[in-house]
Amino acid sequence: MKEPFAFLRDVAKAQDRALEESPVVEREIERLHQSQPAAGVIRLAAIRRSPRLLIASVAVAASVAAAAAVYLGVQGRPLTFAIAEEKRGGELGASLTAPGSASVGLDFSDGSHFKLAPGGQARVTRLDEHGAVVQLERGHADVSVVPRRGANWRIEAGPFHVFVKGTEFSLDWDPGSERLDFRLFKGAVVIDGGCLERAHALTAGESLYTSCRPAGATSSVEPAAPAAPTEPTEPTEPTLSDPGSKPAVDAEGKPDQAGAIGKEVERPSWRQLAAKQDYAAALAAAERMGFDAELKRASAEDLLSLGDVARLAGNSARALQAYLAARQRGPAGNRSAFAIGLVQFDQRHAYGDAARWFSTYLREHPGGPLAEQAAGRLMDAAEKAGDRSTARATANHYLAEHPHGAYAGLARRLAADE
Amino acid sequence: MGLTPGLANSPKRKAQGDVVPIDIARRSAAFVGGDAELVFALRRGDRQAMTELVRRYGSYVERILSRIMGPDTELPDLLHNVFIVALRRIETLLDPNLLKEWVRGITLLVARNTLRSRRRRRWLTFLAPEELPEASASGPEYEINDALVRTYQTLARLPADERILFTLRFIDGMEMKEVAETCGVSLSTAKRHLERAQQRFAAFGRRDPVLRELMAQGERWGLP
Repeated sequence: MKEPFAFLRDVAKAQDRALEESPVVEREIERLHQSQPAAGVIRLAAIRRSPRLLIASVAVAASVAAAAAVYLGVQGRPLTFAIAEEKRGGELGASLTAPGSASVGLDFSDGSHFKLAPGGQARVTRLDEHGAVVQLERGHADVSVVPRRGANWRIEAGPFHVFVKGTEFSLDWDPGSERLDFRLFKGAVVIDGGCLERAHALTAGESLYTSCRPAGATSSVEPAAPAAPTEPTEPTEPTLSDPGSKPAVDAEGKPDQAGAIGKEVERPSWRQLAAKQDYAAALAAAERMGFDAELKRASAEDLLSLGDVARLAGNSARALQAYLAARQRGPAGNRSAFAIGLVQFDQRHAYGDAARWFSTYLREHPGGPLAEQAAGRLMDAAEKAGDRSTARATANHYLAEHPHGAYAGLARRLAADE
Repeated sequence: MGLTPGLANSPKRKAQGDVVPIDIARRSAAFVGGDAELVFALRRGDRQAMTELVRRYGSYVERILSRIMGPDTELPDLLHNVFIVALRRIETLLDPNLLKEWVRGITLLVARNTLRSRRRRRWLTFLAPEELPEASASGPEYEINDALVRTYQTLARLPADERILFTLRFIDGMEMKEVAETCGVSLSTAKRHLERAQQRFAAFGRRDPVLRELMAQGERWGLP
């Protein structure tokens, strides 16, 4: 049977492969929970886009497709790796030592990266089409493994094995004390071997510290020190008036003496606690991990979540720090202006500041999913701040765009208040 | 054509800004139960039920959206809107056992509205094929990836309803009866419009050298 569109079945298979790795559904769960404003309601946010964004979207979609082609292209070939600093191919089994003053980076052909910190030593002992085995003989390494279908990586640190599909983590291995410190930033891994009684599955945000040495070794995690708030850097943006940073209180109120000797210690991460809506505990967990360090290493999306955690835990200073850090990550932190507006409005009752941040959101995302709420809040904040002309102008705009919106009643009242 | 997706009972339009109360204080164990129980829990504002709704039908919605929209950076936003609409309209679902079909109907509505909105602004979004960025990779799967991109470039020229029918039938591989049910039209109507979509896709596709060759191969060799 002749069928001119038979090739579309292969198109569908290519889509299915991409869907297998898609994180969209998991993110949607988080997003739905986050999208509920404090009043406890869900509002439909119409998707509108600016012309510039439309064109950018086409380009980005093409880039995504190109990236998919790269991803598909590496399937089936054994990986190779190169030493980034020396711009030469790496040798299987050869010992790699980072000098005391510089790190050594290994770039793998699938885009994965292994960075050995100064003083560290490692070797790549296996390469195949599914991944690699890398032995960390001593020192610290930051590892980023690109998720791929069928990926199978293993990082060995002394007697411990870290099984990886696609993720980002760091680990320290000290052969003298036989101590492993492992922090997982993204994805999931399984750690086994050594003196562990069983395999441990870790998810993003979790850490594992363990030592196989008998009594005598020490192990601990220091509590995070309070940090100064981050100020917005763009002069055109509204500024924060004295965020007054204060650290969240550690749930236990004392340093976490993690890991009695010879035992591994696992704690729920702030993300896990946030998923359980235990925001105070989540914030305390973030403080234990090091709030400021988290501000530096977390993705824009995670920073927005961290800001939500702090906001819902009632710590407006920490919330502002996280949201501002998200803003500095660029477009990915795109709802940060709205979130800062919420903090200023709901928690600090700084209505003038709130109005400026809602206005910033609308300027940056005129058709964004939160545009209706931002316009409504802007109107409300401007009125409360005594800026009647802005309130009226926003009300007229709001009624034209959202005649049946949640703030339509307020808008009609303000518009009539000539 | 005026497709009316969602057989069970299409969600009635309500004024924008309507709200669904969610009891944000309620915390419970993971949701257990069938679709009917899930619907009742959603109506009570159970947050675990909200999570379960996305867990149960998120991948399904994502697949349908992917088929219709192709590689699309807005897909997460579209999926979000599907579930936001579903949560807002959950009271309008008459038969809770038809939750899946109802969610599918909302998915098609969201996709259709987005496509129509984009077509209205096509002069802004459409780039001629020679202006589109080239996929710079090579490899065993490069050709099919290239075909995927070109397919959705061509589909962008079809009216929204025809694009939906075409993608469900030829990319998702639905049977005609299922396509008609999904789109809420009679079988004969679906066939008539699909015929037109095929003609249009073939005509536009023949202008693209890669699609022309792929279609010619199918006509020469047919199904394996």
